[in-house]
Amino acid sequence: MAEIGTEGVKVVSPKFAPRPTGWVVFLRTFLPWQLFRFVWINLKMIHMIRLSHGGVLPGERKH
Amino acid sequence: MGRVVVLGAGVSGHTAAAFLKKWLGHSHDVVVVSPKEKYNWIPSNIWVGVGCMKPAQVEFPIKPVYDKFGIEFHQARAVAIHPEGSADHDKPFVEIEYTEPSRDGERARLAYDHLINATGPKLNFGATKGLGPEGHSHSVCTTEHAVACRDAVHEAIGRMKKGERQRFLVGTGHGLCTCQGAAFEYVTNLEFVLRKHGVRDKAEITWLSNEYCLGDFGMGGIYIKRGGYITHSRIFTESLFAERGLNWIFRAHVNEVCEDRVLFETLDGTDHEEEFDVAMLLPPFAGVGLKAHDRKGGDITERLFAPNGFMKVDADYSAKPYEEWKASDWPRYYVNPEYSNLYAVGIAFAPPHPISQPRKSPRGTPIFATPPRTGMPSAMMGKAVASNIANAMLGRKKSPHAASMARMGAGCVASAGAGLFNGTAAAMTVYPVVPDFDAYPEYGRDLSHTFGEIGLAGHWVKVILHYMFMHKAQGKPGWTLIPE
Ligand SMILES: Cc1cc2nc3c(=O)[nH]c(=O)nc-3n(C[C@H](O)[C@H](O)[C@H](O)COP(=O)(O)OP(=O)(O)OC[C@H]3O[C@@H](n4cnc5c(N)ncnc54)[C@H](O)[C@@H]3O)c2cc1C
Repeated sequence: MAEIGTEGVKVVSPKFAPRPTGWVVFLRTFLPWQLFRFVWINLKMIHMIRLSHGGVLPGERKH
Repeated sequence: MGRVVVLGAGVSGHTAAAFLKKWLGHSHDVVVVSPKEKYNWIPSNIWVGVGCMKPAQVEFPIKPVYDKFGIEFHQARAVAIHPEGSADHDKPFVEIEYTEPSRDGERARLAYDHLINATGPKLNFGATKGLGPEGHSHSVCTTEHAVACRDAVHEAIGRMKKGERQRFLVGTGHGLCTCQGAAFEYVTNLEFVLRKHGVRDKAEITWLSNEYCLGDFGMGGIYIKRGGYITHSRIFTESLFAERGLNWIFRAHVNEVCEDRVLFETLDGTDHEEEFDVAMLLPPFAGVGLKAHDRKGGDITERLFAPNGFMKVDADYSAKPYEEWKASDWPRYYVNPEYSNLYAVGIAFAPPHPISQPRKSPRGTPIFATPPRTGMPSAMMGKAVASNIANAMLGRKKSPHAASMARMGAGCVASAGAGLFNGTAAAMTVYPVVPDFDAYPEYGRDLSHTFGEIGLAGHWVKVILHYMFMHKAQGKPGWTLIPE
C-alpha cells in the first residue's frame, strides 16, 4: 500500500491529505452562510428526488 | 378479495405496505409479517450509539400504526415461501413462525396473491470469528446494539476522565461489508462526542475498512466538481479524517476479532493486527435465510435465491467481468423471473454484481465494498412495486413503474457530529446510484446532479429528515406528502 504514502498499514497524521483552510472551517458553522446553504441543499435534494421519480435519465424516453 | 403479504416492516416493506393500503383501500387485504414489535429508523441508530439520542426517539410500536391503516400485522418471521402452494393448499402461501411472546414458536401459513420480500439483511456476524455483540466488538445496526455500544463508549469516557488512554476502532468487520457510510458517520460522531466530553486528547481513533480507498462507500466513490477540479470523494474523506485526527486502515479483511485486537489481511496479502479498547465494526450482510418449496415440497431455494441468500429479481445475473458491467444489468421492477407475483425490494433483492470494482488478495480473499442499498432507493423500490401490484389488483391498465438504481439518485446526509449550532454533516447527492458509463462515459454519473459539502446546514437537514421520516412512518397527517 506504499503507493499512496502510508506509514506501514496504518495511516497516521498524513502529510499528504488536503486540509481545509481556517476560512472554510469557519464557514461550516457560520450561521448566515449556513442558512443560505440549507436552502441550496434542500433545492438540490428536491431536484434529485424529482429526477429519480422520473425513472429515466434526463433526455431518455420512458420504456 | 385479493391479498398482498409483505415480509418485513423496515424502510422498504413499511413503505410498500402503507402505500398498498392507501391505494387498495378496503377492496383488498394487506398483511405485514415482521419479527419485531417496533419499527426502527435505522439511520438514527448512529446517534443512539454515541448517546446523542435515546432509543425511544428512533423506534415506536408498529401494531398501532397498522391498526390505524387497516393493515393486518403478524409479529412473526417468514420461514419458507411456497409459490405454487402445496398438495393440501391450492394457493401460494408463506410459512411463518410467530415471535410475539404469547404465540412464540407457533407456525402458520398465510396465503397470498402477491408477496413482497422486504426482509432486509441478516447481520452476518458469524462470517468473522469474534465479530459482533456476542463476540468482542459492537455494532449500531439495531437499537439494542447501539445502546450496548453507547454504554461501552461511556465507560471508556469514564476511564479517559481518570487519565487513561483509550483506543477506538471503527469500520467494517469483513472483506465483503457494505454500509461504510454508516460506519463513517459513527467514527466522526464518536470523535465529536469525545471532544464534547473533553477527552479527545486521551483517545486514539482508527478507521478500518474493506474499501479500496477512503470515500468509496461501495459505490466506487463519487466525483464532485469543486474549486475548479473534478475531485474524487477519497480526497474529501481523507481531508476530513486528517482534520479530525483520525488514523485509517483500508483494503482490509478482518479474519478474527479477539478481546483486545483484530487480526486482518490486506489486499496485498499481508497479515496485520490492530489493538483496541472499544471496537464498532459493522457485519457483512446476507439474506435472512428464507427457504422456497415447489408444490411437491421440493426445495427450490437455489432457484429463487442467490447463494448469499438475497432473492433473484429481473436483473441480469450472468457472470461477466467488471469491464462488461452495464447499468441495464440492474433490476427495474423487482419481480422474480419465475413467479410474477413474487417481488423483493430494499436490501432483500440480489444485486446483479457490485458497484465498486471487485478485488482479491494474492491468497484469494475477496476484499472490496459490496453495493449499498440505502434508505431512499429502498423506499422508492417499495413504492414502485406497491404501485404496480395495486394497478394489477385494481385492473388498471397502466405501464409499470420502474425503480432501477441506475435511473435513480440518492440523497445521503452523513452526520459528522450532532449539535444545533456546532454540528456538521456531509450532504451529498449522487445521480444515478449505479453509474451508467454509456450515458456518462467519463464518470458514469451526471456531475451536475452529484455534489457534496460539509457544514452545519447538512446537520440541520439530517435532523429534519429524522423527524420527517419518523412522522411519515407513523402515518401521521400529511405522511404521503413526505418524499421517499
Ligand atoms: C447503522 C446504519 C445506518 C444507516 N444510515 C443510513 C442513512 O443515513 N441513510 C440511508 O439512506 N440509509 C442508511 N442506512 C441503510 C438503511 O438503513 C437501509 O437502506 C434500509 O434500512 C433498508 O431497508 P430494508 O427495508 O431493505 O431493510 P430493513 O430496514 O432492515 O428492514 C427489514 C425488515 O425485515 C424484517 N425481517 C427480518 N427477517 C425477517 C423475516 N424472516 N420475516 C419477516 N420479516 C423479517 C426486519 O425485522 C425489518 O423489519 C443505514 C444502515 C445502518 C445499518
